[in-house]
Amino acid sequence: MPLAELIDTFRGPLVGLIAAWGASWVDANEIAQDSFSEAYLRRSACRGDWRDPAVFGPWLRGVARNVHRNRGRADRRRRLRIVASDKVVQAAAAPIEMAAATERVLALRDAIERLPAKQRAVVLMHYLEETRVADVAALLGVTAKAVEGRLYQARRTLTRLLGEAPARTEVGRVLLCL
Amino acid sequence: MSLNDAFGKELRDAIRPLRPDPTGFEAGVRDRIAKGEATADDRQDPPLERSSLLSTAASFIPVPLLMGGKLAATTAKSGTASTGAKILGYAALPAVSVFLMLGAFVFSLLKIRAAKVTPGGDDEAVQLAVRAWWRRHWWMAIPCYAALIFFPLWGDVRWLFTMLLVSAVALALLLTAFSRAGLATRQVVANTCSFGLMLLAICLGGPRVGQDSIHLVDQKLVQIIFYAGLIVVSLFGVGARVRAKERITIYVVYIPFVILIGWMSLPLWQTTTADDVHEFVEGFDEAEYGSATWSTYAMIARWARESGREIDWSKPRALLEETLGGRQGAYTLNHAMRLGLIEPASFHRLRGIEKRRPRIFDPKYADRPLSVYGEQGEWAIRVLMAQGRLTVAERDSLAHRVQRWLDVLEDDDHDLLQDIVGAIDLLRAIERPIDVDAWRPRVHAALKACHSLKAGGFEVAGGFQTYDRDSWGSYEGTWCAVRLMKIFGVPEGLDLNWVRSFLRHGGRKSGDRRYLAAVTKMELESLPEARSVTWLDWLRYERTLFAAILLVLLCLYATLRAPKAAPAAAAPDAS
Repeated sequence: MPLAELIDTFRGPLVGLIAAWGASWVDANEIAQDSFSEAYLRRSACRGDWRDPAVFGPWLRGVARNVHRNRGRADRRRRLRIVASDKVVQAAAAPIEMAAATERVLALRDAIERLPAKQRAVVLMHYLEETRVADVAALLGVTAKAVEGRLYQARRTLTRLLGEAPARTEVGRVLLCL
Repeated sequence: MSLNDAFGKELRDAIRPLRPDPTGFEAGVRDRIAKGEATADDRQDPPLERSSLLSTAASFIPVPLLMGGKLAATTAKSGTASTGAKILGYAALPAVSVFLMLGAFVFSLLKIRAAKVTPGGDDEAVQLAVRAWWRRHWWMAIPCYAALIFFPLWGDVRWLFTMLLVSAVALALLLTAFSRAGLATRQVVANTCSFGLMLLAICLGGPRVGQDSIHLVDQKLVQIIFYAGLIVVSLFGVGARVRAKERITIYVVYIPFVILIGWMSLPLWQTTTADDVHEFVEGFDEAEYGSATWSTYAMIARWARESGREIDWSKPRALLEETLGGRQGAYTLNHAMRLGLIEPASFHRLRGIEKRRPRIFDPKYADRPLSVYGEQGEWAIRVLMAQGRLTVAERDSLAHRVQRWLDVLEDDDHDLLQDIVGAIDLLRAIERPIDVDAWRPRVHAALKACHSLKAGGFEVAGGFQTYDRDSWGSYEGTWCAVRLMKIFGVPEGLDLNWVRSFLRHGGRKSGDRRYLAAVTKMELESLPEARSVTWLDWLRYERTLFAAILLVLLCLYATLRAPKAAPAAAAPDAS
């Protein structure tokens, strides 16, 4: 798979994953781009064929984690020196994220923020660009079944957090599970 | 899971505004890749950039110093390195401070001169790298130098040695990485390694190193390994020199050092076998320190006699003749009688038996403790017993008095274990053996009280004391303790590896002490409780030895992997 296709496959879930780690959406975009370039430049160190999505996915996630961690450390150091500029960046990012948000959408985003880490990650990775469950699973290094299970749990948690009774179909699924 | 339900749609709608722009995203990635590739082409030291370990190491080691100035001063930072590489770098810092920087200082004039005369060499690059290193790592270097000066003055270099050893292994790993990448010259690596090995060997020369912990081999062996490693690594470093005449001169200078190391290591290979002990026992013809020499000899000879070997006693008996024909010292006669050296035919030559008899058997002394040594009458009792002149009543009375003496022994700080062994032997000789089960707790308590984990007086820890209870062990005390453990068993909580550790030192002793240590060790190993030493014990107690071997091998590997000369491509004016 060429680089363009790999970017197309993993862009959405990677940005979603980095956002789930706690980065702002602007930072998540930057970190994801850095991670793609880093993973590509250091592809010789990748164990296996980097063109294979099943190999490239976990490799990309590992690189992204290191880049995110290093950026976090650098940010902390910078924050100690320049406090004001960071606030400006945050303020600049806010209007993009909050644009056209209705009360229901804000409540839903708030509920997503309150999801447990694993559930929040799969929700953001899957729904951001409607990425296939198999690609999310490849990036996370887990099975598609596991991703489906987390998505299902996440939807139930979200419904509860939003104060709604589960839909009939949901109740039926729960009963079937029992 | 379906994406077409209403809730799924809501979720997608909620997150959609946050989607990255696909075109901008890909352009951003490609832009970064292009910049990254361009930067890689401009780099002057690609090997450093290719390896995260090397780029991290470069922030802890002044690389131009390793290259004789053939590489530009690196500005590598450890911020983007992996945690493991950073830990390795920090662990190596003390060794870099002491071995590399101090070594560079010692050889500085030579090194800077070499950098000046080497084609492509750049003394300025070396100086800049050293200055940059000092600015960043002075906080580690200063305490290291202070420790190097003050610890030996204080007398305890164990911690310094352990720290330097761990750090040296980390440095050797980094040097190996540099060597494999061709970023260090063989001579510089060999010099650094040799300097490090020499300092570690000197550290081990400290008076207390390895003395108060359990070891299965003499710790001088570790020192020998460092010195041997130093010579081998240096020889390979010398081999990298260009001028043959210079090389041969240095090889010749090394010869006395090789001889010295060989001579130093000789006692370590000296083992004392049962045959050696046998030969010593038969050849005993001089008691240099009178009864004291006889005492040690008796301990060794008893093991030889009890091992069931045929012994020719002619020489010891000839020596005993001097005592029999002279003033007949009681202590010497005690030891001779215990060994059975005085034959019944010679009993008539012994003086003072009749004079001692009333003192031992007088009814008015029936309840008074009888000191086996104090009365100096043990030999007389044994003679009377051998002649069949002791009645049952006399033997009972004697046993009672010896038991009374044992009762008060625990308050005695002098020769406690030796006195207990003497009393038990005497009771056996008069056929009134001690009740082992009844006496076991008291003997075990005495053994524990006399076991010393203190080192001093050129002795290591783990032996049993002869004199006061706050002293270090002695071979005589340890022989008695092992003998008692043979009868009463090993006290609970007493680690026999401590005793093994104490006895290991015997190999380096001369004269009868060497044989006493050997027979005590053999007795110890024959105890039912003495489980054999496992490889886990070796790993646990000889970790310093294994670390030393590993370090020497790493140094050797780093030296051999380094190119003999700095790569020509690295020179600025290679064209």
